[in-house]
Amino acid sequence: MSDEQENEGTSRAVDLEHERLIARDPHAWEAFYERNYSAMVAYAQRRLPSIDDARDAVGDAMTRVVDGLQRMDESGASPEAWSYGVLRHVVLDYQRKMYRKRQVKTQREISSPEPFERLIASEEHDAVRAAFELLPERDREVLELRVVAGLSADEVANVLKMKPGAVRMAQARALERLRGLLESEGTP
Amino acid sequence: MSSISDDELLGRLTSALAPESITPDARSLEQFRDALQRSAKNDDVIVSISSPTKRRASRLHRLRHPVGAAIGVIFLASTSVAAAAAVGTDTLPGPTRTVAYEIGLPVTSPALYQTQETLHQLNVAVDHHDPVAAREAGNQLRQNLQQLNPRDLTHVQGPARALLPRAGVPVPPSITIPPRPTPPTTPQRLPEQQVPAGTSPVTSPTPSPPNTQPSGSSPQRGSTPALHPSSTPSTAPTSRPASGRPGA
Repeated sequence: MSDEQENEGTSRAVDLEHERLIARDPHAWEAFYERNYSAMVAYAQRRLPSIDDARDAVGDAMTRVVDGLQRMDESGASPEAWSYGVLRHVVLDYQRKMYRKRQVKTQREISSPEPFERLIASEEHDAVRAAFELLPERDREVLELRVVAGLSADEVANVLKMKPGAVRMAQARALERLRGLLESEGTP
Repeated sequence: MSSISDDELLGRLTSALAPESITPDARSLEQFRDALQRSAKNDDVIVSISSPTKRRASRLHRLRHPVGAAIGVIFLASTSVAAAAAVGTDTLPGPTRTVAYEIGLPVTSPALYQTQETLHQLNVAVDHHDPVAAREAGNQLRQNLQQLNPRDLTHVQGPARALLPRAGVPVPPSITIPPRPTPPTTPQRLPEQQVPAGTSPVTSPTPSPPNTQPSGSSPQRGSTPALHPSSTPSTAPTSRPASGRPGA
């Protein structure tokens, strides 16, 4: 099977799944939730003090998503873009609520043991992650939504309330900055 | 590093940021399923079938000026009630009556309404023994009668036939011939006190129109008998016909 045929088949499957989601098929929504859970938790975890907070935020966000499916229909956004848009707002709410506890949480996170997987991560991944963390928040958000969540430029534009062209420009600038940071660190 | 392309950099970033594979816990899944069920129930309540209906329902909740909308609704409702009352009581002004009649609302036709108005003026003039006003009204009524269709004519021809001679105006030919009564299928008995002596009580006499002519004299077309109080017939209309405005 050629790449073109494969892409066409994938696109058709995505369209079919979107139709089922828009039709409120509960099985399709459960599958959607489980498939996107990891990426959504990762997105939230990078902005919240702990993985428990991230899990809670994703749970709250997905509850809000299904409570507001009517608004999603009206907006014309894809389920993925709509879900990340809601998650982004939920994470911001969590951050506001946790503002006073931030110092305590940060100290606890620093003292908590690193997950085993992170300890064994490759040196290159560490360097890329370190450089990524140095990027401005907007750059990180654009790259994460494009790379981790797998959203298209149009969908990222929907989440961040930007124009698709501005998202592509922001992505190009973010990659350029990331490249510069990695060069300054001496990563090959 | 500067030699690597954007695609390669994105590939490295994807590997570095790849999320740990985790699944939602049981509590989270349960919460999600509850939300799904709740959403399905809400859809049943709000939505009938199509999405445009849903959009209208949701937009109603997001009206920017609910007070203004409420005032608008009240204004429309009161206007509608007033219009319905005007149609129901047949008290519409001229242009509105024409429009209402044209669109098929149950109102008196403008021509008949005008004729009834003139008939009323004529009746008043006759009652007040005002020969000049009576003649004017009579001439006007004569013109109006000629513009009526046969159905409308039946509503006013009786009173007109009675009043026009009293105003000294000839009755138009269109209403001089009284409508032919349908022969009764069964003989009707008159009350005993109304049966004249020497007449057969088998059938009721053909109802004659109110007549101001002296008995024995034949009505003369174009004659202008003098207006006299004693000649006021008992059957002359003192109020508006049934299809006229109430209270007039």
